[in-house]
Amino acid sequence: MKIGFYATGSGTSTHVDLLRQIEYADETGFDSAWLRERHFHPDHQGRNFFTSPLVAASYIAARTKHIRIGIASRILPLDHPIHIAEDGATVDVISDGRLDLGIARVGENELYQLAFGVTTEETRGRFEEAVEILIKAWTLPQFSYHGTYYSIPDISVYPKPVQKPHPPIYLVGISSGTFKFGATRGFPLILAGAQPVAIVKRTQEEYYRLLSDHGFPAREIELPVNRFLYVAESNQQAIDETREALNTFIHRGATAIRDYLFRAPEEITPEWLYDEVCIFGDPDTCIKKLNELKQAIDLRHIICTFNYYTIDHERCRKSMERFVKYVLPYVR
Amino acid sequence: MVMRFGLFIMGTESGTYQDILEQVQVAEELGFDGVWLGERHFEHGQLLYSSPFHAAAAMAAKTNRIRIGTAGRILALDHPIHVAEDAATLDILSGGRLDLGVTRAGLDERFHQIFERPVEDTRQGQFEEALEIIVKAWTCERFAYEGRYYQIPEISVLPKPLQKPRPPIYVVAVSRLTMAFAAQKGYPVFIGALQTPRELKETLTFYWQTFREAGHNGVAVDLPVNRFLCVGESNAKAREVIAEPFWSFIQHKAPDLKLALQGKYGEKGFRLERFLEDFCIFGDPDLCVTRIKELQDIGVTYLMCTLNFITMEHKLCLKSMERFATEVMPHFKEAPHGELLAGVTR
Repeated sequence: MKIGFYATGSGTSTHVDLLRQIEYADETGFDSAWLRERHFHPDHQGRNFFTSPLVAASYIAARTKHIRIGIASRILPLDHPIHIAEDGATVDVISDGRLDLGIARVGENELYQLAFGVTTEETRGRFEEAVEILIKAWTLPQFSYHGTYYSIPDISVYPKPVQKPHPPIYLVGISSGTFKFGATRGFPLILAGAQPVAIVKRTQEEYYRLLSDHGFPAREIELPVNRFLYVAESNQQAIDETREALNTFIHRGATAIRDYLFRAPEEITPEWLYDEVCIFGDPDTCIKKLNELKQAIDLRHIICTFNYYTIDHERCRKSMERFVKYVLPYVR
Repeated sequence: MVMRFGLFIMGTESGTYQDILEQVQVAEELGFDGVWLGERHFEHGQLLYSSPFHAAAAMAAKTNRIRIGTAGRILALDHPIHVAEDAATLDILSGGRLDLGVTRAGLDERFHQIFERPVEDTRQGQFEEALEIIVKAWTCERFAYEGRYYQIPEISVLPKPLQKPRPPIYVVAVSRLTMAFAAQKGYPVFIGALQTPRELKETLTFYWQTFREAGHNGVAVDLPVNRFLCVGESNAKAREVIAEPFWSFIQHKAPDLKLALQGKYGEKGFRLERFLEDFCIFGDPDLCVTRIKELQDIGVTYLMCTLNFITMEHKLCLKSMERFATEVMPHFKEAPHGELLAGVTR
């Protein structure tokens, strides 16, 4: 099983704290670190790399040796696809081939489109055209493109990525339209939201079926799954240290997260989350829950969320350290 | 009088990003005050820098002290909110070492065609709007914007840059119009490599006069002046080393400079001897020191050194940087002898 680190901020983490955690993940053998894109988001007072994941990725690339650097994800319609091709290739070159680029059609609300001057109706078309342009820019010495939204005369785009034919492209999304599009391309889907096991299972099966329908060897494609983890010294400590924070986290108008849970808001209680979604507890409990999860779903690549923006960073950091010492060696 | 030295990092054609990062690390060790990156796209960006912020982030990761600047980001090609966000992130990653240089238009009109920002827009207010949005995004808790080119609902852009009130903004000014705009706003400008000392003097006079007329006080900012430089054991040796890479650069890699030079010097004057008289500083340490002192005398306080041409081998770039830093820079790093003596006798 591949182990990823979801590099988002905690309640009190600084930029430096986050960078240290990523370097720690690199040193302790994590396979991947993932950065997401978000804009105009006041919750962490900007103490994260949400707005510019590829800029941060470039810095991280120069500071780390082994870990793959994932973006989950860049929202394609907000930027020109040539920029994304250039920026992504630059990171791939600087990291010597360690970029995984996740892509998405929209962010969490309409303000993104309004601020960056695109309409929400256009996002589907722009997204699909952007994917084509991105791949052409990365793989062809020269190309031109004429679509509804983008028109590009004969050009060569540099630099070219190190990975051939191009860095892996992952899909992040929730709509059936996005699933269908991703499956036609054979892109692995990142199950980014922390969903109940039954829903992850259903989504994985549906996506594998779509992949097979389009002639891809579905079972060879790994679908990274995001999970909330909290490793404490005892089960009680895990609950004591997270119960209130988890409740605030989910119900602080973070409707985007609740969308992934498919459950009425009043039914989303910490107890339900502990049972269905979270891997929280002492090391033995976490190992057991992870092994159960491995039985229940395809878990070849887990992205671990240790940081929550409602918990003190010291707690998140310790939980990650316990994971590295007491859980990681037994679940790989 | 102290002179500050920046290094224009062009990359080497045969080199790798690792080489570039090494050049930046060496520049820091040698005592350069800053490194500067241009923005190029398509075949012009074969090595550097279609993504100057991303290259800069890697440079920030490998250094501790040296300032890192863009010279300049082409504002028309990217949404100003992206520029503000990326630059703020970079400022944080570098520990407050970002200098944001911006330019109205790219060296090739196709940049504008492909990114769908017509070059005419950049002359009719788009550039000024973008700059205004960047400053608002950096400094205002919340803001909205209603312009001709950009309409932005009320938003809060985070993170804010580390430098307060904001990272310095430099403007690439080719035309007098842009220079006047920058001076009125109080933004320092870059001065191109082709100006003769006399032209340079006129430019500086124009800038500072406009600056003062706009109500700005004092001389708080450096205006980076670009110079092509090469130090050798003798004038002849220096010119022998640099002649080929320099010509090849002008002929094949810098269509904008080539055009400007042909326009300025005509067919007959388009030769190194003339350039050496006017703006190229290729020679032994004495010659370099003398020529830089002349610049200092007309008011230059920041030299943006072009020592590394994209047409030069990486090793040669390192050597050239080292010679310049050890044989020329020390003459400008401390108060000149005369002033010290004057202090003693007083």
